[in-house]
Amino acid sequence: MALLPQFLANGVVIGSSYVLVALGLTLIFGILKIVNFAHGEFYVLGGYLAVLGSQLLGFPPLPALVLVIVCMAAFGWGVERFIFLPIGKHDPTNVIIASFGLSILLQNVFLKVAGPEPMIAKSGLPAGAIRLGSVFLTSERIAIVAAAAVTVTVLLVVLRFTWVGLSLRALSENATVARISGINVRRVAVVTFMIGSSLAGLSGALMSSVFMVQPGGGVLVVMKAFIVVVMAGMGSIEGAIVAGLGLGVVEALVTGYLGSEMRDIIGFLIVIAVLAVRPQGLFGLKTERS
Amino acid sequence: MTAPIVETEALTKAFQGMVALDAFDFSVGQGEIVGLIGPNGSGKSTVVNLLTGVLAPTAGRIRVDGRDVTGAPAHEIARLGVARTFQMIRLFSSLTVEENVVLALQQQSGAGYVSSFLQSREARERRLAARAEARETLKLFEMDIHAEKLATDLSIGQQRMVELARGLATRPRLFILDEPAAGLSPVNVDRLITMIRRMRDEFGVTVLLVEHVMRVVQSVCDRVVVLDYGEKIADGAPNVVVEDPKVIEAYIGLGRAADA
Amino acid sequence: MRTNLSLLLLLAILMALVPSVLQGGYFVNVAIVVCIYVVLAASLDLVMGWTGMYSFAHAAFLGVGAYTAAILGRDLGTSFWINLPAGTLVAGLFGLLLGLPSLRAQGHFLAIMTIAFQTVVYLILAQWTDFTGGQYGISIDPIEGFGSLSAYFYLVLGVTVVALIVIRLLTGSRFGDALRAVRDDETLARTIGMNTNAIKLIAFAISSSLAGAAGVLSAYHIRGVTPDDYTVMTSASIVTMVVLGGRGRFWGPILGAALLVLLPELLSGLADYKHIFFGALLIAVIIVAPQGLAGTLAQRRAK
Repeated sequence: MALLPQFLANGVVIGSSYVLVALGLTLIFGILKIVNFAHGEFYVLGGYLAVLGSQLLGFPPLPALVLVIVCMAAFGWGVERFIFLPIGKHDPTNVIIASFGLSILLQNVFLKVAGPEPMIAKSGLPAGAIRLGSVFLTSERIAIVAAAAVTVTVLLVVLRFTWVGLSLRALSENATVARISGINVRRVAVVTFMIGSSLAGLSGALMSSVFMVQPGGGVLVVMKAFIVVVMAGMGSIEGAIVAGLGLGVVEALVTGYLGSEMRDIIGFLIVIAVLAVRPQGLFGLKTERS
Repeated sequence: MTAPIVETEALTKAFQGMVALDAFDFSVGQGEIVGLIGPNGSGKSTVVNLLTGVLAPTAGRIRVDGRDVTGAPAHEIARLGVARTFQMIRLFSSLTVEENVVLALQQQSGAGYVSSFLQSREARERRLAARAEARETLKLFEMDIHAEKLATDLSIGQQRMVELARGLATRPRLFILDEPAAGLSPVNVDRLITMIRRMRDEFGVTVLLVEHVMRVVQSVCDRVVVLDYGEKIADGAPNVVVEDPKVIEAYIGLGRAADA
Repeated sequence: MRTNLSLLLLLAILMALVPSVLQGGYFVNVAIVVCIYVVLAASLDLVMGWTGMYSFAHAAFLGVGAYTAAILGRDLGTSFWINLPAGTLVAGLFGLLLGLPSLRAQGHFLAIMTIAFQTVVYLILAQWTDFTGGQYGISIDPIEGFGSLSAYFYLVLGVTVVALIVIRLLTGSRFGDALRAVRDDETLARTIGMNTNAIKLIAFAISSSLAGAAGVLSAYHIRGVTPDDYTVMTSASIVTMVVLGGRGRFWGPILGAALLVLLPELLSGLADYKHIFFGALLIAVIIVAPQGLAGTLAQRRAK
């Protein structure tokens, strides 16, 4: 029991990253109804960009993160414009296949460009653990939680008070009504996709200073993000925060008390179980067209 | 009244606590044409979905031909001879008009899957028989000229006729028509009225007609049941029911627009 | 139906000439790989094209079939003639297992689940070292009487032809109608009396058992199994073959598999970038010609 606070703290660190990835996914998936299987690779790409910025270009932490956000927003714009937009017009279900293709494509591009060896970003923060009561955390881990908290706060403010946020909420309530009342659905879609991509990349960048970045790392991440979104209910920001932190804590406890070998297998089994038992989400409503 | 084909007893359905249908008692007798009417959101579609097994009831019982089918899956109820059409027309979009009808027919009288896989003589003969039968029924609805077209290439009125042909081809015990006049031109509505009568008179099909358009209900129904807020408020001959103050209240009552 | 089967037999006879016309083991090896991927793509198409369900886990069934053969051979000393039906059967049972969630979850949810399933199978193959040999895998002895490469090729070709005939008969029968009905409108299919749950489960079981058979064939071809042959990348390759060739058409997946096995062989520079190319191709086909080559050709001809 002595280790419990430490496990909980580890869980909050991991959970913070899940929250960020899941927020990006819930915006894109829950509101725009675009199923992006490559969202995990967006996370990995963010990690590589952080490595690039901090190691190769020698940027300090903040400029490196800005680099990640800007690049990922641009990348998200390109993907939305040139892949999802042309497909979505004809047959939205084909987006599933195309984004699966994108996920495969990106994984193998990472493999070719960066190689199979895991990489780590340099945070530039002082080394060594910091003691908080009975809990020890490195400064990178504390920074992850702090950065996630700031990002989530900014996002909540943006969603509450800006036109993007208002339009988004209108869109998630009823797309047709939103369109009739003069909301530029195209513009909202693009901006949402860019925000979602940036969030995934930011999360990957933050985690890259603690956990290794590797080409295939996105698969597990996207699964967990989907789980969080499903548990939270599509498009629910607050739900994603709670569910993301919850999943992180549960995982940290499993790892702490049962060992880490089975963690990934158990993670995937949870994915299957959650979706099989409650495919429309734990808080979602089941709707059937009559 | 003759023995009921379908009968419900205190049938109830709630969605997330919202009661869409409340203790609904109802029956359709052999050879009757019964109308089910009510304002938007009164629970008509819920009744159809419960009777066909698309939804499972929260409480109450459903009997088809005296057999309890409460909670039975849709395909089992269909095999007991309950056919339906849909408010938003549903046809298999990658199949031709004829294949749509043949597929429904084969569920009732097709060869087994194994003998069909082995292309046995029996399977081929049954398929030919089903095709002939389908043509025959399509002809009745003057749709045989479109038999080779994709179902989705037809107009709404034509698609509606194909839906009717699909149901009639299987010689159902009960044929549930879910707002068949929706989206039809006046000419087509007349044709619909004629065809509903003919289905009963010439083929002995019992019909449950869920409808908005009063003209259709009044001209073909033997009996009309009225739903409002998930409750039955009237049950009787069409000309009596439309005079019923409760029905008038439901249709043109406070704050609600007349639908009929 | 008749012309399709005649064409298939003609093609098989032409293929059978490969060992005598094109000298050298290289061509025979390529021909074997083509056959195996043809079975994989055509069987995946039963689920993806005909029934309209998304499965990104086909390589998992390939692996289950292959490992069933390898483990039976290692522990019980059984021969190929037992291992082939056993691998087919066990993969079919796993297919039923994956089919169960398809009764509740649809579209992207099912797709996510299949990726999770694919990954779980891979992790088990890679990590349960005592049973599966871990990363080193298990080696397999050649089949008695089929030691020569060309003899083995004829065996693979025979199984491929049988599998394709089964698929052709299935899709041309009432079962094929039922698959299309489920794809077009599942609610309507149920309303006309179709037990769509049973149809979907059987589709998954047949599709995965054929993949299992392909797995046994490929395991005997490369004389062993290692987990890295059965990753999501392999699944993605099969998906690309089906989509490129044309979903829900007999010749589509055959064409797609043949093209995508041969292309990296013809363009030697491509082999290194195979998966990048496949990923990009998958996106491009979906954007430009979502019906695939066979679908686009059929449309041309119709006009």
